[in-house]
Amino acid sequence: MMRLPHLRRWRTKKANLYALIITLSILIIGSYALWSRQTWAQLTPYYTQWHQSLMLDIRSTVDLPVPTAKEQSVVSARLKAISLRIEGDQHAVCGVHSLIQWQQNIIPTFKNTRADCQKIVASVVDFQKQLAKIIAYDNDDQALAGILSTVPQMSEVAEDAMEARMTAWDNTAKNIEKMKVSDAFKLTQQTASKHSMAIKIAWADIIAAHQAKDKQKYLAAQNSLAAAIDDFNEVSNTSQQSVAVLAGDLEKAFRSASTD
Amino acid sequence: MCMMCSVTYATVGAGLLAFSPGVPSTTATTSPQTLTSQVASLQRLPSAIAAFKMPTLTEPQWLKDQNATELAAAQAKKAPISRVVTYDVMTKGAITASFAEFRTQANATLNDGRGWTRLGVSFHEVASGGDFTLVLSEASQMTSFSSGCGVDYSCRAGRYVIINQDRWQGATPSWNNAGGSLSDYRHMVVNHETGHWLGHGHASCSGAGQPAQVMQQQSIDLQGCAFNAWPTASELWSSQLGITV
Ligand SMILES: [Zn+2]
Repeated sequence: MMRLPHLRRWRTKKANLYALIITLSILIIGSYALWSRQTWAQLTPYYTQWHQSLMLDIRSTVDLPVPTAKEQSVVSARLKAISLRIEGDQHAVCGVHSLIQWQQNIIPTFKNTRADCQKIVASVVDFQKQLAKIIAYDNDDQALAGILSTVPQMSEVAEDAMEARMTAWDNTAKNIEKMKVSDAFKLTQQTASKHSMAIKIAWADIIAAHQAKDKQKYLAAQNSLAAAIDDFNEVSNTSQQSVAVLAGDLEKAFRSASTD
Repeated sequence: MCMMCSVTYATVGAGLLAFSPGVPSTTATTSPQTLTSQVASLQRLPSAIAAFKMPTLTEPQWLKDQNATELAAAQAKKAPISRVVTYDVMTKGAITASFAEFRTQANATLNDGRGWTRLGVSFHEVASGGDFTLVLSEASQMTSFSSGCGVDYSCRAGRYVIINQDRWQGATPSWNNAGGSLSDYRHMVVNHETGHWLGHGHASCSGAGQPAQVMQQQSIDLQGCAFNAWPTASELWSSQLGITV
């Protein structure tokens, strides 16, 4: 009998503890459910916003006025930034926390939401792959233009300067040969290399005819040089054709990425 | 880390969602043509390559010597002048080139020992009523002589030997690109058009590296031949004058 108040206290404590555990459990489960619901509900607006702001980014770059030589680097930099943004975001956009990811296996709506998101990301990634090709081509184009710009252009060449012209073109051909380029640029590189070599050979022929004082050969070699310089335009044509193919693929990928 | 976990939903919801109708489709479409042109405009190569031009090669001394020797030999072989061909000169349209220079240079070309004088003729400019009329014409007026004449090149139409002012002043792109000089072009064009009056049609390049015949259309294409402003030995005849050499 003496122990009765103690037992009553203990029972009360136990009841309180149960109540606390139940309350906490309800709170935790409720919060988890609320968090899950909110996360899944926000996925669609989240990736939609991501997609739209990306498309807006692309559009604002495309809508820039066709760049002058000075502005080309601005457009290039923006295309690179877009490509990097997609690369950086692609694995994260459709991600949901691992604690709730399992829910897509039992709730079809969640599964569909995630699948829709992944479909959009996949088409954007396809676009990024094409964009990366263009960016690589653009880098190669700049590098080759840089090599070609090192050949000094002269309106008049004296006989003692002919050797230097031949050497300049010989170096140019070698430097072009050495370039490590993207697959799409290889044809342009080969064409440039071939025509640089043709110009170098024409200069060598002029020098040989000059040394031999052979007028017919000298005039013929001069014509060959003129033809070789003229033929160098094939490099521009080849490059323009390669870019047209890449741009066509990019355009297709963009259309697909922007309407999915 | 997933983006949904690292970004607070609140920031997503606010301003940026203004673009979002809440469905995963977008209105941010772009004219594909613009995308293509933007990408195409990034190329540096075309402008880098456009800078390549055939330079003029300074004539080496040995070549000058050879040319002088050939000229002297040609003049030594010059057929005795037995006939005088007269021509009068006029202009057509708006002329900006020096007409006096045109007359002087054309006469010098016609009477050059390397030229048609090798037929045994000399060319005398007269005030009017010449055997033919040499014309310096504004390019746009070329077609007024004959529908067969175009604004791009010089021409011969009947008694008119017409030199296109644009060509007189600037030769042709293919000639310039091949490194030809303006003075050689002027010799060539006067000899060529006069050649038509003398009875010649057009000739083709006889072989790569060979001097072009003056009646070849060198203004358009050298066809692998070397420039030549003067009639070759095989061209020394004139049905107009009844001369066979
Ligand atoms: Zn003709």
